[in-house]
Amino acid sequence: MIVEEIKICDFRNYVEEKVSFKRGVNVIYGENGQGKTNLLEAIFYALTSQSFRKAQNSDLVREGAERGIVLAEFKGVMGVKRIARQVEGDGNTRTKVDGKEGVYRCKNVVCFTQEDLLIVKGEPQRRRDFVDAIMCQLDRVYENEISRYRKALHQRNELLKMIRRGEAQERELDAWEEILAESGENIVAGRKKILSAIEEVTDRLIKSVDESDLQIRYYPTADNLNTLREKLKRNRQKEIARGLTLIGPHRDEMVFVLNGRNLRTKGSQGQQRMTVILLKLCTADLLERYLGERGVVILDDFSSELDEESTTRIVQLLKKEEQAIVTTNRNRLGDFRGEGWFISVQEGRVSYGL
Amino acid sequence: MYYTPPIERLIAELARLPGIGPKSAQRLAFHIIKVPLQEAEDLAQAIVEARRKVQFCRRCFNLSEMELCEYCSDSRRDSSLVCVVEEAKDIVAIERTGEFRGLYHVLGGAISPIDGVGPEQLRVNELVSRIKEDKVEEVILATNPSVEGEATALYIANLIRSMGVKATRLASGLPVGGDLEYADEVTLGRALQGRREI
Repeated sequence: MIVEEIKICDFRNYVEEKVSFKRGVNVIYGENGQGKTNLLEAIFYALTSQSFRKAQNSDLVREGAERGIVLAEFKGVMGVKRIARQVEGDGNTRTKVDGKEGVYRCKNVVCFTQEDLLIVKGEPQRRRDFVDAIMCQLDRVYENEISRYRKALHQRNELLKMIRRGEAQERELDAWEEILAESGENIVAGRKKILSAIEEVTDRLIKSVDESDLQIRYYPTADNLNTLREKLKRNRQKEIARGLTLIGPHRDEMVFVLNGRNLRTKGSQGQQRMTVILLKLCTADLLERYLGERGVVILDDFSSELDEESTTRIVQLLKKEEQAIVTTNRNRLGDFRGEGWFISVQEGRVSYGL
Repeated sequence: MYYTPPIERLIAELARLPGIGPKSAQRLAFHIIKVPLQEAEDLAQAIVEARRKVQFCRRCFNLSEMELCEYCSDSRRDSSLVCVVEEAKDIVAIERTGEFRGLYHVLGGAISPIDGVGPEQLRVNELVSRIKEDKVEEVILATNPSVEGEATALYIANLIRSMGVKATRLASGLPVGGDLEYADEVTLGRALQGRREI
């Protein structure tokens, strides 16, 4: 899939601009605060109807404007598609797909932002969310299982508090624990499956950049129906006192091990960043297997903190992508050796070339 | 106050109905004001009559004009077989199949701690005493296939199994008459899990 052109109007710091993109590597460059990330966000928003920043819809509208509009034209196996999205100042949105009012959410786009470094650096929740998000895209049954588990967990936590207050009886827990155990077993099985695929693909990518070796270790708090059910039962008193379920897939840990060392605690900034970027490229691989077509890869300021050598290697990998759209600071332009489609951004205006 | 008091009052009463917000209440109120008087009187009478005459069946808590509903008072129906549903409207759905000849039991909802609904708020105790008194042999749990419906079915199943009564659950599976390729993954996955030998 390839994004060919976007038109933006009153979106973030852009008044009105048309930007064309090419197959292969597209490099958006410029000084800080000129609108590089805003341009990426516009593409991502047009494709997915979501921002990759923690932004309210109304934040997307240019200050002083009533509404913002993004139009994207992209080409895939299904032909050319035109998506138009309009955001009102009050946060209301409208979407047109090929000129007709509709709903559209492209799955086939992978995006890296600074926030994603937390997949490696952050709390276990970040790793679980990363893995679950991929699995949910590939498997609707898994997606349903996650939502079923969350609902049952929410209900059981509420029930634990009610028991603590003397408003409910302990035997009412049985039914919820049965659902959690059944659903939890399916989630653990799904995670094992996707983690081994992620490990295989990312390890191969890492070996293509240096001699490193990546393992992903998964530590489920309980890995089958019976253990989970028993553990929940055994921990009831403690959990009633806390009013919180402490065991289950929502507490599982996953550890990235690079060359035998825990990447979160012992890895360098560069190794952490490199691994997260490769995890993103791996995601593109897994989505391609499922969707039958390579998606768009979007990387926001991937090269800061990375040495020249690592950056060059990632650029080599990006050249193999059908389309990669990245932002970079002007002083890191050398990393691309003049190969690619260069887009310069200055105060919300775009020009092409170096 | 923006409207004359009778209209204000009508809007306020309508807005108390489920699913009716202030805007819809206003629209309905103005519609009622515009229709012929007879039509408005018919509506008012229908509301009062339904409310006065309809009560809960003393045995199964279905809605009924009599003390016992039409199913509970039908001697041809099998009283050893009880189908447990969340709401009275679910009975209509099962009756339409023409497949079920037993009796019903309406719980009045599903267990949901976050909404403050536990077994005590539902007609679970009534079901238990009914099973004892009426010599029920099998209970079919026909609660909704939502997480809350599932939990309710599991809770009741545990309860009545200890009484030596058979508990069964509705199967979830494929819609009849559809093509397999159009079934959604979740339904198809469930149908696979619940497959039977033929």
